Amino acid sequence: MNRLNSVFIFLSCVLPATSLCVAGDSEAKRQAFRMGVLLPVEGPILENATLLVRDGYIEKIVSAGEELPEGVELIDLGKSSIVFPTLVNPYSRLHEIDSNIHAQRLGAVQEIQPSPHDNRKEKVLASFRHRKEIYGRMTETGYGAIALAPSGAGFLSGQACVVRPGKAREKKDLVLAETAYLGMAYRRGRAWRLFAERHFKKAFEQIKKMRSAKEKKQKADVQSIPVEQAQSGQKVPGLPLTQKKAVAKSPPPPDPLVEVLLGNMKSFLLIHHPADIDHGMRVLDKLKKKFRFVLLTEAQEPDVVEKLARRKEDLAGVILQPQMATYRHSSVYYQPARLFEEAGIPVAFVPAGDDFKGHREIFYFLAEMVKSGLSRDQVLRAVTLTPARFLGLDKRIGSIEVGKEASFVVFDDDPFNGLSRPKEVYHVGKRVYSAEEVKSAEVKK
Amino acid sequence: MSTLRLALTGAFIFVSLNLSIEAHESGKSPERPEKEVEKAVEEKKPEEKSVGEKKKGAVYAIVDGTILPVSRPPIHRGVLLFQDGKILAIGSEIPIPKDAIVYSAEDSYVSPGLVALRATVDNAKHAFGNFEDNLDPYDQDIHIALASGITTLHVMGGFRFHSIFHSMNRSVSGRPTAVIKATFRELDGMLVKEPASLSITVERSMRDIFDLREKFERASRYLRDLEVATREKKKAPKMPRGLGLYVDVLKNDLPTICTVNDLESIRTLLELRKDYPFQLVLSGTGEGWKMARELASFDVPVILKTRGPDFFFNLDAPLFEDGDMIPIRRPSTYASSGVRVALLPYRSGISLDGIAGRDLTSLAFEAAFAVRGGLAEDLAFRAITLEPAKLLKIDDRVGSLEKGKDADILIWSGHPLHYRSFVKKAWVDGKLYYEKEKSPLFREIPLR
Repeated sequence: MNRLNSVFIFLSCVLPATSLCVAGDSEAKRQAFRMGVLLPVEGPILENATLLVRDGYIEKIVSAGEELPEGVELIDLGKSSIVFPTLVNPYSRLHEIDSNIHAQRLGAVQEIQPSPHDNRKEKVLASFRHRKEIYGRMTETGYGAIALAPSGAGFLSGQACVVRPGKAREKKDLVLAETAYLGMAYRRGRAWRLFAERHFKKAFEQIKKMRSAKEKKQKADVQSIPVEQAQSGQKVPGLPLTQKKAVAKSPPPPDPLVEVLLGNMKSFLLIHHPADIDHGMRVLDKLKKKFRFVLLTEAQEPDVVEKLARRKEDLAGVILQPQMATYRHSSVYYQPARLFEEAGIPVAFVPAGDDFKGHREIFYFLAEMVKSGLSRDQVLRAVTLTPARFLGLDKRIGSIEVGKEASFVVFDDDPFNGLSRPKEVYHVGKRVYSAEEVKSAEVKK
Repeated sequence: MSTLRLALTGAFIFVSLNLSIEAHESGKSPERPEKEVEKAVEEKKPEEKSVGEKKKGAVYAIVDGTILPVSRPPIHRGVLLFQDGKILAIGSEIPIPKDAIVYSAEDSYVSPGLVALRATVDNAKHAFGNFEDNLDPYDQDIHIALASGITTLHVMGGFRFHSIFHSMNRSVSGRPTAVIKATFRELDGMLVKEPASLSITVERSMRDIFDLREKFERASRYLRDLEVATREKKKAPKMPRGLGLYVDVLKNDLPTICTVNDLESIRTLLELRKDYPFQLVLSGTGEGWKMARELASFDVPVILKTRGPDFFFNLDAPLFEDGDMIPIRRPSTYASSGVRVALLPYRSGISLDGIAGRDLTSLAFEAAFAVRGGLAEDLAFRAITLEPAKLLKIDDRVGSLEKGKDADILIWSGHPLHYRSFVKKAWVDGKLYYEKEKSPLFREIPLR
C-alpha cells in the first residue's frame, strides 16, 4: 500500500511539472479576457473592456470598440461579470493556525506582550510551515497576496514575508516577497520606554558608524588612485593585503531597525490603546530622525484621529478591521475608517479572522462598510492598492494597470451586496479557482 | 476576639481613607481684589506688546456668575478672565476685551476645581511608581471626576510586593504617589508632580517609631554631608538607598501624610517633628480630636472623613462609646481649635455608583456634611479646594481663583455644596474638558 501511494505521489508530482515545462518552452503566451465591468481601482471604471495579457502581465487594456490583435487566446468571462484586482492582506497570522483549515479562529490583530523583547532577526519566511491544504484553498477567498506577520508582539517582533496563496508544491514558490516589513509594537510603561529608547539609540549610533566608515573609505579611494598612477604599476606594499581582507570579509547582514530608520525597509507598528499611542508617539517625537510607519490599531475616536492626522510626515497609513465601532462607554456607533479617510490618512482593511473563514467573510464586511457610509471605491482601495503600497508591492499587484500582474477576481453579482462570492480567481493570467468546477467536483463525489 | 480585631485592622491599613476639613488660616486678611486686578490688566498691556513673538491664545471670559474664589469673599456678578491656561483677572468691574470668548454663568456659581486627596483611580492602580509612563488620559474615571468637579487628583499607586510586606510589618508603606490633572483625553500636561507625598502608617508600636526616627536621622545626616560637601567642593555623598522620599520630605518639598489613630502615636510623631522639621499631615486621626489644640500649635493639618464607620475610631473601645465623637462633628471641632482641615469621602475610588454615595464623586457632599456638623460654609469649601492644595504644596497653581494661577474653573448649576448642584462646565488649564450637555453619562439628568 505504501509503495502504491509513493508511486502515485511521484506521478502526481511529475506530470504537472512536465506539462508546465512544455508550456514554458513555447513562445510568449498572449491572452485576452473579455469582461462586463472592470474596476481597475486606479482609473475610471470601464464597461465591456478586454484585458490583453502577455505571460501573465497586463499588456494593454482594450476598450469596447477596439479590435484585438491576431493570435490571441480569447477568454470570455461573461457579459455580467465584474472584475477587480485580487485582494491584499497586509497583516495575517495564517501561518500560526494549526493543522486543519477550520481550526480555531484567531483574532486578526494579536495582543501585545506584557514585556518588551527584541526579535528583529527572526524571519517568518524561515519559520512558517507550508500547508498545502490551507494555502491551496485560500485562493477561493479572492486574496492574491497575504503578508504573514511575525508572531509575538514585543517591541521588535520580526520580519514578515508575503505569500501568494496557491497550490504550489514548495514553500519558495508561494513567496511573493521575502521581507516585507519589520513588525513593531508598543505599549505604555517604563520598561517599554527604556527598551525602545535604548534600541533606537543603538541604531542611530550604528548609522553614525556606518557613515563615518563610508567617508573614510571614500577618502582612501580618492587618495589611492593618484598613488598608483604616480608609481606607474609599482605595487604598494600595504595595498593588496587590505584588498584581500576586504574581499574575504563579507558584509554583515543589515540590521532591520537601522534599515527602517534609513527608510530602506517598511515598518508596521502595532498599538491598540489610545493612551499607548500617545506614549508611543512621545518616544518617536524624541528621535533625531523620523521614520515612516504603518499603524496597526483598533478603531479610534475623532480626537485620536485628529492627533494622528497631525503627523502625516511619518504616519504612512492605518490598518483597521472593517467593522463599525461604538464610542467608549457609549452605545453610539461610528465609522472609524471614514474618520481616517476624511483626515487624509490612508486606510487598509484586514479580515476580522485570520483563518480561511475570516478571509472568505471579507466581502460581507466590505458590504457593511459600503452600507455605513464608505464609497465603493474607498472600500475596494482599502483591500487592494493601499495594502499593496504598505507592503511595497504596488508595482506588481494592487490594481489593474499596464505592466502589473494579471491577477483578478471575477464576480457575477454585485460584490458588495453582502452575499456574493467570487466566481473565478486568476493569478498571473492563470485560473486558480472556479466556483463551477468546485461545485461539479463536489457533486461527483 | 482580639485576633479578629487585629485582622480587621490589618486589612484596613491598606484601604484606609482619610477625611479632610480645613481650619482657616489666621492672620491673613483678604486683599481687595478689584484694585489689584485693574493694576494687573494695566500691567498686562505693555507686556503683550513686548512679548509679541509668542502667539497668545484667545481670551476667555466668564461673566454674570457668583464667583467663589476661596481665597477671598464671594463676588456677585463677577468677571473672570483667563488666557493660555492661566487666570488673567478676577473681580466685579473688569473691562472685557472685545475679542474675548464670553461664557455666561447667570444664576450659576463659578469656583476653582476641587482637589481630591489620596485617590485610587484606574490610572494609578497599575502604576508602580511610574506615573509618567503609565498615565491613561482616556480613562472614564477622569470624565466622572470632572463631572463631580475634581480637576486635580493626588493619586496613589498600587502596592508592590515589598510594600505589602512592609505594611504587614506595620512599618512605613511605600505607596507611590503623584498629582495629576483631569485633562480628559490629553496626555500633555496631565502629570503635575511625582512623587507627591510620603505616605506612612503608624500604629501603636515602638518599632514603627524607631524605624521612622532612624530613617529621618539617616536622611538628615545625608543632607548635612551633602551641604558640607558642596561647601568644600568635595565629592557628593551617596544617597542612602530607599530614602529618596525622606530626603525630599526633609528638604520640605513633599508632605508626610501619616495615617495614625491613637493619641500615643500622635504624641510621638509630634516629638519626631520637633527634631526634624518636616511637614506633617495627619490622616484618620481617630482620637486626635482630644488634642486638637496641640495639633494647632504645631500647625499640623488633618485629613478627615465626615461620614461612614471608622474602624480606627477608638481601637480599645466599642464603636461610638460615650464621649467619642460622631464623624460629622469632627471637622468643626478641629477647626474651632484652629487646626487646618482637609476633607475626604469614605472611599477613595471613582465610580458611577458613587454619584449619590460615598466615593470621590460625592466630594462636595462631604463638605456639606461637615457644614451640617457645625463647620462654616467657606471653611468647608476651602477644605476640598485650597487646603488640600496647600498640603500638597501646589497652591501656587491650583486651589483658588487668583491671578496667575492655573485656569481650573468650574461652573456649577447652584452652590457647590448644595445637593442639587451639578457641574455644568469644567476647564482644566484653560481648556474646556467637560460639558454636562455633551457628556454621555450625565446629559440625561435634568437640572433642578
